[in-house]
Amino acid sequence: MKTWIGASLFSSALVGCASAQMPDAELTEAKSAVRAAEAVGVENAPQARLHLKMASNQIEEARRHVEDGNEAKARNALERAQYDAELALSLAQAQRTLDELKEAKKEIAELQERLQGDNQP
Amino acid sequence: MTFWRWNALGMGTLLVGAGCATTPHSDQFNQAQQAYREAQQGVAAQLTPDEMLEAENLLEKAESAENGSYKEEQYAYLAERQANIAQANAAKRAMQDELQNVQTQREELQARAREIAEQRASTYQQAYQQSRESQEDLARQLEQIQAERARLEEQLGSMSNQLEGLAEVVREKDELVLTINGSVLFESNESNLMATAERNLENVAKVLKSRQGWENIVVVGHTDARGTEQYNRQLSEARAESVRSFLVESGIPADRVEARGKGESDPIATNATPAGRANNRRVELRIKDRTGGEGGEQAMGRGSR
Repeated sequence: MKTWIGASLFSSALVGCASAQMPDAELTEAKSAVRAAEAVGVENAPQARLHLKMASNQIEEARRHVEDGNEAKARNALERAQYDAELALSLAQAQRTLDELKEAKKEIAELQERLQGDNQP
Repeated sequence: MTFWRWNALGMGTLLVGAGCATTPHSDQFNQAQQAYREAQQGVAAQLTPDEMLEAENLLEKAESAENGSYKEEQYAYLAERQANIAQANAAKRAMQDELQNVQTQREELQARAREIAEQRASTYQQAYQQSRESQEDLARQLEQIQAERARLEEQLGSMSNQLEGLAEVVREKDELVLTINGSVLFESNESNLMATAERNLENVAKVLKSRQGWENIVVVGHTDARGTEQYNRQLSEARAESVRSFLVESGIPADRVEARGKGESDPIATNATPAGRANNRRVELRIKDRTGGEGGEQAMGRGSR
């Protein structure tokens, strides 16, 4: 994953320019990461839900920075949004796998019980 | 020492002569470091090394930035997330591996359960089939028995009708027993048939001739207990013989009729009362069924109603 911090923010260049533009590529990446997490579903994973919210908040924050004319800060906000969304995705997937694992183990326990029961006279 | 300070406008300002006061790392940095260490202690180091490496790089960048700076904050923020991502992905991978094993186990158990169920189903099927067959057998046998019984009852019924008043007809196992009262046939101490008796016996002969399906007839004479045993036996024998002769003369085949005398040995009533003694004085015609169904069917076919 690339980080663009080095490039923009820390140059002592543009200051408070009113005509800042929303960094489209970064916005697209952030939004698509959010969608990916939503697709897996965060209902059963509170931590995932939390980070997804943080991602959405930071996308909003980026819009505000753009309105304020601060493109660099907007980029940073979008970057944070992307990482939060990816974390939300990872957490959601891990939760789903855990749920699947629990379910499968439960089924095994039931099957074993059933088979034992059958073997008894 | 000099420190670069990044102010809110993003411009660099050189701080000079600020002495050796060091600003501590931001909370975010400490958090990120903590997150990285935690991830290191788990399976992430083995299972998601690339993602851990990225977390490490971000953390290093945060470290090399000035403490408390925006740059440190941003890198640390990202580093924390990345460490958590590595950790979560590693956990997921570990669980996926376990899930595969568990699924294999589950499939095996399901296969075994299916096998057992199939075996059981097939066993039940066989048992059910056998039970059905034996049930059908029993049903058939029952039908046959009922048909046979119906035949015999019909025989009995019709014979009873025909001989009403003259003889009592009962069934004893495989014999039909006609009991004729002695007073109808013989006078006291006599063994020759009375005239009226012959007429009555003609009816009996007719009924017997019309019936197929019997093997043989045994005519048995009985007396009451008055007099000596020897006398009674001889009398009952002679009487039985009289009835037999008559039947043979009427057309019953001789080789199928026998005569016996039982004297007083088989009373059917008490000998203490006149009524009882009268009942004991009797002649029985014991008609034995032919074994096998032929005779029965013929009887059914030819029996008069």
